[in-house]
Amino acid sequence: MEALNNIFYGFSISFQPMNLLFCFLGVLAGTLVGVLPGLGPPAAICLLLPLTFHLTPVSAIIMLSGIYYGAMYGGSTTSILVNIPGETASVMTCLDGYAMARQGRAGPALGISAFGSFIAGTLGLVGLTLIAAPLAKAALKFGPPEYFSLMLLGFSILSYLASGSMIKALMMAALGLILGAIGMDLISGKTRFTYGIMTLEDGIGLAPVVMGLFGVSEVLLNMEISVKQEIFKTKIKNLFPNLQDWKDSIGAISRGTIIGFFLGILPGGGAVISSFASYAIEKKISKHPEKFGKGAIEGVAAPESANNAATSGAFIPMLSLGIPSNAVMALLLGALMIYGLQPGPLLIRQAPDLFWGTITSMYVGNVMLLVLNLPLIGLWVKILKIPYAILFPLILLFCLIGAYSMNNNVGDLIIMNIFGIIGYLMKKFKYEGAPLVLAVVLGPMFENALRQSLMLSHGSFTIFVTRPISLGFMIAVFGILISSMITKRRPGEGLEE
Amino acid sequence: MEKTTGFRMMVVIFVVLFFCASQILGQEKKFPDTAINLYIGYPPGGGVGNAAQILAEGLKKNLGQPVIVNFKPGAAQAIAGDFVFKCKPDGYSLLYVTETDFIPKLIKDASLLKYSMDDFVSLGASPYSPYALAVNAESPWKTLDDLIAHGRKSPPGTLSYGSVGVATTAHLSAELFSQLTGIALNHIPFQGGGPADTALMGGHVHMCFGSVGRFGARLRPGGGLRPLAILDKKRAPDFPDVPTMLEKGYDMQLLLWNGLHAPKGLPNDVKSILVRAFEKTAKDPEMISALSKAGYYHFYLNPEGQDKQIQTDYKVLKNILSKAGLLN
Repeated sequence: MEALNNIFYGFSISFQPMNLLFCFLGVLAGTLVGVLPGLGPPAAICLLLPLTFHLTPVSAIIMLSGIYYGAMYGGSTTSILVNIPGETASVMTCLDGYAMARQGRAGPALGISAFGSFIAGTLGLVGLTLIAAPLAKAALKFGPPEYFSLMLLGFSILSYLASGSMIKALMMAALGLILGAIGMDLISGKTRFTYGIMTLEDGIGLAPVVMGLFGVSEVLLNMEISVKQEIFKTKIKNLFPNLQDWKDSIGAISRGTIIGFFLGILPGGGAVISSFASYAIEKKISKHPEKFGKGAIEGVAAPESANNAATSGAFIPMLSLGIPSNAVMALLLGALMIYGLQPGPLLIRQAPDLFWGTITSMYVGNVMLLVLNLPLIGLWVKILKIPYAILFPLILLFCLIGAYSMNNNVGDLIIMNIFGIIGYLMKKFKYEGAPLVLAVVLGPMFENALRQSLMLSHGSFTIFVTRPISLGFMIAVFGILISSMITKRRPGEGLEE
Repeated sequence: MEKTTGFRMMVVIFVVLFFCASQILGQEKKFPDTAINLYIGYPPGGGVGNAAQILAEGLKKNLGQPVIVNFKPGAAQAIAGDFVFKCKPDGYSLLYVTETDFIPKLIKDASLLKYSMDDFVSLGASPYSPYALAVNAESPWKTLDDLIAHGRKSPPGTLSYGSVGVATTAHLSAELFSQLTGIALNHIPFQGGGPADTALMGGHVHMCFGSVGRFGARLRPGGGLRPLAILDKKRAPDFPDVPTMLEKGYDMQLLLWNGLHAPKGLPNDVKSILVRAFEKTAKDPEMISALSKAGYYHFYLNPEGQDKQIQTDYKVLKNILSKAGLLN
């Protein structure tokens, strides 16, 4: 089979000692960068990019890719331990992960997160190896109408994210839509809600908002509560997930993998959306949805698997079409161009060593990450014993550094701090941040897709149902709306405070 | 006694001479004596960023000091422009922009910006990438004439094109094309080159204008797109079979070209050092080959030429903007 030949060829490249070393360096750097809230793969890649000029393209791409998926492993650590997402894609892990940590189950949470990431990352790579080309072609079929219907589907499952009051969740979603509208409108070129501030012209920036809402606010909240470290002083029972945990999570991991992989392929889709979607779907089909938000292990396994599978998926449009689906892929693309390689349909033919070498190195990298992360669980858990007086200022410092490192713009820091205060108030009054974040992500994409579709169809709404993929999503939306009307729910349930 | 006084006098004279000499030598402090910062208005990984990183390596050799590429993306290069505008004009903060995107931004949002082109000093321009008109490789139009004929036969607005945003050169070239051929086009803006090219390759829009650098390998056979025309005076070296718009009778010459600037008030001696170093870098064969791999062709304009080209582009682009009704 041709695929097997390619894989052996790839392994022959990735097992070369230099490439193994660079793979290790990449995943190590990625894990560190993922753990630190605020600092993300783009910053690390930018810093290390000049060093890679002296390496061969293969080694360089192996290392840079390692940073990317390594960060998805590390991002969950702070989410679970201190309720602060290390990566935007780890926001959902905060919900159940932190609850588990409070119950003394930080070890199993970190463990299932590592294992789930490994399984999902590896399975995603298998998908990448076998069906990259046909998937890329299928991804091209997604035009504005398909994106619109998909976003509509995303909004319809948004309500599943709410674990508290439904009205408050919807209010937050509406606020998220407004925040997403800030910036220069794509279609008309006019600026909305910017009040002449240049930083806002490109929109409010998801990362500063997330770091403020979840990170800075958590620090502020903890400064207020006097030492409650007794919770963590209870002996941390096991460091690894037990059999029951595995039984509960295996379904979540598989579903998360599939959702993450396919959403990651779509240019513009990605780790954030897939983590939200897998959490919402897991909660919807669970037999005990009320446990979500209070320490259900599926709530950790699903988003973590999804965001790792999404990284594998994200490589597909980049390697086979030359189209980056997110900022990290754009950096990798730029790196490839500097080496004189043109990513795209011709890359496989032009540089098979790069293509297959990188893919097989990702298998190796995932194994390295698992081996790296598991023993570290004991170490991470000890971090909880650091006095909060030292721990939280450090976290705040990293958030500030991270926010500035993205665009070298002080405006991002101001946004982060404003949302830190807003997030603090939200937590006090029990308004949830997850619906807001999802709306900020989906809102602009939804609006643009709607207007682009209507411009393509010269104003006719039938474009959404005459195209097969779009029609499929619309039927799913319809199905979800009807199913919630059919299930016996007392009128007004969920609308209470 | 005279000997000691004489000796002391000698010592004093020597010390004074030494002091004067060191002052004179000290004033010959060469520019640059520390690292230079180059500011880019787009995120890393994009065309300008890549070109800048390649050029920075070359400038390092010719200036003797490291040149650090700093990214300050946002507002179509306006944030980077604003930042450099506020920097001291000492030659250590430079702005490297894609002129063809910077100029429309300055025209369109002149009322919102605190600076204009006159607040910057030109230091040289290099490299460039010509714009091309691309359609899907599987579309029935094999030549520019096919496309135009189809456009003229169909109801206005049937032909759709993707752009990377309102008032970008990709949009404005399409507007100019529409004005010159008389075909009404349906403009679909996208969030960037990636989504626009995806839509074109997926067959959701009919055509797209973009720089050869941006399209990259997608324009070659097997890449998914077919170039129908080049918007340059001469044919592109990589696409010798593709005609230019000029050959087909349409006066459309739009290039994506990058230029180096410093804040106004730069001392003349610093300026000439920078201009010479940039010129040497731009004409270095190693640089030329590295840039062409990244999709940029060689060209060099000295500061006077750069200013002239900016004026020309300013007029052309302002004309298109006002005819399209985009001026505020």
